[in-house]
Amino acid sequence: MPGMSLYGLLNTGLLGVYTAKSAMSVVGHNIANANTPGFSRQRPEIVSTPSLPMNTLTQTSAPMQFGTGSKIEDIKRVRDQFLDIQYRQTNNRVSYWDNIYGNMHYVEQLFGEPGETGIRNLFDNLWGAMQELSSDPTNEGAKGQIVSRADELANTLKDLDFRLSQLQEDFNTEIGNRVVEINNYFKRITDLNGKIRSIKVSGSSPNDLLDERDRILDQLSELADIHVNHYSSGDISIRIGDRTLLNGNTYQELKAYTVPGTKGFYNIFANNNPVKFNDGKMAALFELRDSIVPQYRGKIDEFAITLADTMNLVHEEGFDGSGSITGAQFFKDIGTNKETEMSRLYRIASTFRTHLNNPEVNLLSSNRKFNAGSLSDIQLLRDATLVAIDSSNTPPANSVNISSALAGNGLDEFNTNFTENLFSYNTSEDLLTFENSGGNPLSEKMIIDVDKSFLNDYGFNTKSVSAYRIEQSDIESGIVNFNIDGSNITINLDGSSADNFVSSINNAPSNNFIRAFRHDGAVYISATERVENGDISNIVFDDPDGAFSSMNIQEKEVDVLDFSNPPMRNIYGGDPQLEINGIGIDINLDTDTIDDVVNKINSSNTGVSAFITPNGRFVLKGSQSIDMDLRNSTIKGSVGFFNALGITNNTTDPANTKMTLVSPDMNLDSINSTLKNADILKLDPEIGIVNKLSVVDGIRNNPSNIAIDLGRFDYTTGEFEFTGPNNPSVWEELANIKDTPLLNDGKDGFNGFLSNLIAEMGIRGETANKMHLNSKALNDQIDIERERVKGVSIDEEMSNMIKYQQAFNASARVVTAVDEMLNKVVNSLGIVGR
Amino acid sequence: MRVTSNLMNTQALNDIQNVLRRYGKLNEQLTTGKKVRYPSDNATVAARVSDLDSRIREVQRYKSNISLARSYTDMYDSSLQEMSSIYQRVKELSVRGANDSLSDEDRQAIVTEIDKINDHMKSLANSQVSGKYIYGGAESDKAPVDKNGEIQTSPKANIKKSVSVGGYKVDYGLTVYDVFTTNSGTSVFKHLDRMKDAIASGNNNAIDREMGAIEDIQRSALKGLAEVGGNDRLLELSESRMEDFEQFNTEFLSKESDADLAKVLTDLSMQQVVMQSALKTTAKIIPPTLVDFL
Repeated sequence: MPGMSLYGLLNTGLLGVYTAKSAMSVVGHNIANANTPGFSRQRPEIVSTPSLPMNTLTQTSAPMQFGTGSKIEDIKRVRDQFLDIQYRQTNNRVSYWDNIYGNMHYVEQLFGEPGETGIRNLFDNLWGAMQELSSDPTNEGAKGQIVSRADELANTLKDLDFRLSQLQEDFNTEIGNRVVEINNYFKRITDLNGKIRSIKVSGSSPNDLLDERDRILDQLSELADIHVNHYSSGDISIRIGDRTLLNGNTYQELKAYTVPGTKGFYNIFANNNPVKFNDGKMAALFELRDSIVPQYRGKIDEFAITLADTMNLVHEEGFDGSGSITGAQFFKDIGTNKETEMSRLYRIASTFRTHLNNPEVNLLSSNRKFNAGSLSDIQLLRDATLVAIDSSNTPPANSVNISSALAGNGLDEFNTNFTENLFSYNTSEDLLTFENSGGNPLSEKMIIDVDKSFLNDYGFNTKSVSAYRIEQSDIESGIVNFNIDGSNITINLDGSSADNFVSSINNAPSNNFIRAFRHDGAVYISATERVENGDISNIVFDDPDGAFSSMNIQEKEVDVLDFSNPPMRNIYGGDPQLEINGIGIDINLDTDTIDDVVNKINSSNTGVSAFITPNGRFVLKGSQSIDMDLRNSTIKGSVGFFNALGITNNTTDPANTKMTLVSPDMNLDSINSTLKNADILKLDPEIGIVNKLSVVDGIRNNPSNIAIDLGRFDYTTGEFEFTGPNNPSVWEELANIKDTPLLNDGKDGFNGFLSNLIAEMGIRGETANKMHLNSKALNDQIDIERERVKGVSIDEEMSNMIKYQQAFNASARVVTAVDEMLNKVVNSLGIVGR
Repeated sequence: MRVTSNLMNTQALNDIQNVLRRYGKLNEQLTTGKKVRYPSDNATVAARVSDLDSRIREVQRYKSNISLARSYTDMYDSSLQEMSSIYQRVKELSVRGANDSLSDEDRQAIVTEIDKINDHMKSLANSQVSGKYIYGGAESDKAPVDKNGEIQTSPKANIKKSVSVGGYKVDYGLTVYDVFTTNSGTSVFKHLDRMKDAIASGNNNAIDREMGAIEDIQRSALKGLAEVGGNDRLLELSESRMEDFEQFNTEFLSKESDADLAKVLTDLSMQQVVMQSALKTTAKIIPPTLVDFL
């Protein structure tokens, strides 16, 4: 039968009906799921059924293709995979920054800065209490206040550290929980993979399952930075970092194992290989737990350790108000209780004043440059007279040595009259020095510049003291006496001539305390180095016959050479060979003082810092950049140099041997033996040293025991002596630590440290907030684009519905028409006239 | 470009969220009165606020240091004034005592008075405040002078009290060495003793000599007064400078940290308008679909 049969036509109509009906069901499904989260709209793929080639009556040779209707080949969902990838990437970022910001905000609330309860305010209060005690050193209330302020600060720091460590534990628990969640997701995805694959094999699209899988992937992308690979079989594989964790039907379960040595902190493993998260909530949790919060705990530790050790080092040099207690610490020992190979070596201090080992000063240098050819080329601007007094020289007449020089003459003129001390000038180094050339060291003499016309101007360190000046015409005979150092000295003044007057004073029995000399038409009386500060106004004379008083004595200020901070050559004459981390520290023995050495070490940027305590002990410390552990650096120098500094007492090796003080290669035993003569402080390796910060019980229970006075050094006894309860030198020194750069690798004082901490916290939080808002905006935008593609538009579905409904009606009409045609054929075909 | 109703909803919601967030921030400023509450609000401002807070506390501490010091200088001032007038009296007595025609009784009367004056000087030297000897230097627990007129304060305790102001030290203390000894190092108490003996024995030469010493001491009392006055003036200047510092810093702090309420209120009302219009249009945005019309 040529052409399409009626039954074929019927079939075509029927197919049209089926198509329309199925399409309608897709529309219905879309509308019902318009608000289902994660739903992608579905679209029927309507295709024509294959056409039949048929011969017709009119064309017998070339068959015509007759269409046979339509069918729905597949219902596909409309989804842009690329947008999904983008969305998941930005979702990573949003989740990461959200978690970082949220927790940083919590941390900054804990710190409470800026505010009344913050560390800064408490530290300022402690400093204020130090100032109060400095102004009023015998006020017992002020002593109590220092203790309570220190306690407040310590408790707040400890509380803060506790809360931060709690926060770390919370992060850890959260990590454990999220790992379980990830594993669940993996399980569901592998299930879905199996189902999707089997449906795809049979040729259709498992749309709702695909949607479900995408929903899970979206949620996963919040937690971790997943990379998804799609396969044509319908499977996916998921990769985190460089580890493929899920592939088709199988996945590697993530396990959380605790790391030994931490407090039960988890690390994530899959198949015994570690998994590293680079983005998303997991990455944020790890970074917070392992990097960000420990950094803040580390800063609290640095603050506490530096405060405790610095205050202790200064406090233990002081005497309490009664002068009977010294060597006491203010804070309890923060050192380690059990030494292990991992202990940190924080601080090395000498046990005595640097100059004590060799208290003799034999060389002083000028800090001026002269650019002269020789000593004689350096000329005096004014007449000058220098007097060298050494009370231990015998006979007493030899104890006064006067040397004058006139303006315009060279400095070598002084040397012609000096017997024991000489000026020298080194042309190549442009260095003017004054040196002991025989006899007692300079530190046991008084070198007086009577007219204050030379020493200070020419670059020598001087101090002002008083001396007495009597006109020659005013001298008289008489008797004076004075008490000093427990003995009573009587002097029979001989007023017959100036020379006799002078020798009567100088030759007086047991008189090691005052000396007289003639200068400029007058007689001068000066104290010797045996008197406090070399200042004659510290002697109270008893003048029974009034002779002294009637001599019209003038108190005159003179300059005296100050040898309290001498060049290093006086401490150690050999080559120090000081080297830190391979960088040599160059020390000029003739011009650098111990303070200069400290400055050079601090500016060497090696993480090793130095300072000198008020009573002259040399201290080395490890800074934050080397984890407050000197064992992370290598310090070398000569044996003699370290001996002179008081850190070692090595009598076996020659002084110029270069030795290693500390290095990472030395084990604990060898460090302990090298530094056995030093006062060292070792810390536990873990964070949280702040928990040992606490005021010593002896002081907390009785604040009167606080050290007040640093004392003054007595060169004759070689010890520090108590000066009195009203001299708050301990607290004057400690009040300076507010701004002394002891923290942040020697860049900030406590004040600057706290300021930086607040700024850094603020910047981190501000950045996290901004990044969060930015990435959220981007993520929202991408989500909107996704929605554009996959979202159900009611209008569209409505118009589709109309479309399919009309198509249904029309196809139904075709069936009706064919039915009538069949009726005609069956019942009416071939009946003519019946 | 395809637009679905979900899309319109989400966008509208996001925008309302943004407005609400701005609104919330402004509200927080209004209720706390501060522009910056946490460092993450604005790191540089927060750090500056913290620094200023700290500096203001520091300045207040210096101010109280200064007022303590000035209370001491007041005490020194009044005791030095008293001494000055005492010396005047001593000179009068010495002049009278140098008169050869004085009777024994009169002589004795002068001697007694000078003795009393000496005792008074010793108690002046031993002045105490709150149990501390103000002329004792570092040994504020020991009387500077004993009843025989011997100076007990050791030379190593001869340290002037100082106060820390703005990072530098101002010496304001005086010790027994500064005020009660002559330029030649003799103590005033011994001089008064010798003066007394000289008058008792009628030794006019000795009286002359001691008079010279007394005048010397009177001069150093006046010098001491001048020094105390100078210290006090320096402290006063420092005090007013600290007051100025405090004021500047407080103003600066307020400018940095306090919310400008007028601005906040204006912004707030503007955000309210924005929010209301956003809400209104959102209501309209939920559009009718084709469904309503079929």
